[in-house]
Amino acid sequence: MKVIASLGLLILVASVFLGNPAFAESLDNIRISVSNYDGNSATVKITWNHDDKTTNYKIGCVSCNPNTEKFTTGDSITFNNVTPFPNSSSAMLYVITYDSENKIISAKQLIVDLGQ
Amino acid sequence: MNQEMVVSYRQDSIQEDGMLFVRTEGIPPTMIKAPIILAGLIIVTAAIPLQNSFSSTKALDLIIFQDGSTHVSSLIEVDPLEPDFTVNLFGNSIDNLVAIGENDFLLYTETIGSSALVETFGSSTISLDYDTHDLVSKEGRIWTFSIQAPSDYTLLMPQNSIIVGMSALPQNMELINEQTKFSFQNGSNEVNYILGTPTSSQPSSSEPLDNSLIFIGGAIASAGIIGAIFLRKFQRTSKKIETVQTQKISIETPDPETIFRLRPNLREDDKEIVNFIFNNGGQALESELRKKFLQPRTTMWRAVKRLERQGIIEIVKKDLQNLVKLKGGLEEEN
Repeated sequence: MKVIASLGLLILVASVFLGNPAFAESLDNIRISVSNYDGNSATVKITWNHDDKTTNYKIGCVSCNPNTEKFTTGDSITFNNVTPFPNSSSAMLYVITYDSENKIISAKQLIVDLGQ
Repeated sequence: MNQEMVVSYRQDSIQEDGMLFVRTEGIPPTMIKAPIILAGLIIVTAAIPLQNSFSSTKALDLIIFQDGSTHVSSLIEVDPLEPDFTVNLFGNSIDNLVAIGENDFLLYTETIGSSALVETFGSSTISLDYDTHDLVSKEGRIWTFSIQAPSDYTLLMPQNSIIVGMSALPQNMELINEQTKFSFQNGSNEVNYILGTPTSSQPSSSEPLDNSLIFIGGAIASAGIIGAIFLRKFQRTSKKIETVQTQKISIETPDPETIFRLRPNLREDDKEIVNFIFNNGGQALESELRKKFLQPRTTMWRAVKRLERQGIIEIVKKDLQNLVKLKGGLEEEN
């Protein structure tokens, strides 16, 4: 009985947290789309879930030479001329979220296979 | 025939006003050869210490840990005829230096500043391992790894690191157990990173799942289960079985202020740990503490044991991990 009760509770909690986007933390859901890859560079669009606590987002490309970075207050950004690492089709990007006091809330690394 | 001995005097060839004639035909070649001989001597002299300390790095692997220390593993080729050689280390703060020769012989080493003297013991290949604290620095939340590498090398980044910049692009990159491993060429390089939650994302253009279905399913399942629990409770009470009420005695967990009052000699860093555990609901995993305070395993273990000795916390095993709980009923020290 206890097992069933625990399972039910787990499902309830999971459904509340997964089903309701209001409970999603900053950068919980990130979506990436790649276009215009010509073997050298591509356009990458990154979209993330909205978070009220976040006031600013910093997005950067580490595999680009030289490294590039952009700031936005919105929930998506488009990066042009994203290049992969040499001898590879993987590009390395990152997203950092900042609060109103410009302190880092969270950060995530994005490794994107541009060839896919 | 009579022999007569006549004394004859040698006639001086040089008169008072005479000239000195010297053979000059050998001088020009000698003058040309002198600088060559001198240069040769200088090269030979310079080459002697080089031969003594001849070594070349065959492989260099670096692992960065979450506390900012770096483990260096290198494979060095040396002249086996030389009794020892000097190798440059990455920094002055060196720990756990171990040199192993061929046939797994442990070799004698002596650290002098940022270099080490290693006895070869006849080995031509030596593996050198050590930890250094000078390759990584931290400013705010940004960690910076800086190196001037004498050879190509691999770099394994710490777990949960998010790389936000690098001055040299790697030749190769791979993911090993959620850790990023780079292969870099020799030369100077700088890698900036922060510690957070990494994710390996592939591009996706599909719409996210309709979460309302999960929500409805969860709600139905929960309602059913809650109903089942009530039904079972009702059945139990209808049987009118006498039950003995057990009185739960709860010992209140003291707040940090009380703890600090009862233990006035507590260290500041220990106080921070107590505060964190209290704000975390009175308990925290030791791994969480390490992550929070960016402390190595041994340092945190010592801190936790210190708090346990003072009766502030208790350590409970939970899923092969140490769960650190604030202890109730703390009394004043005698």
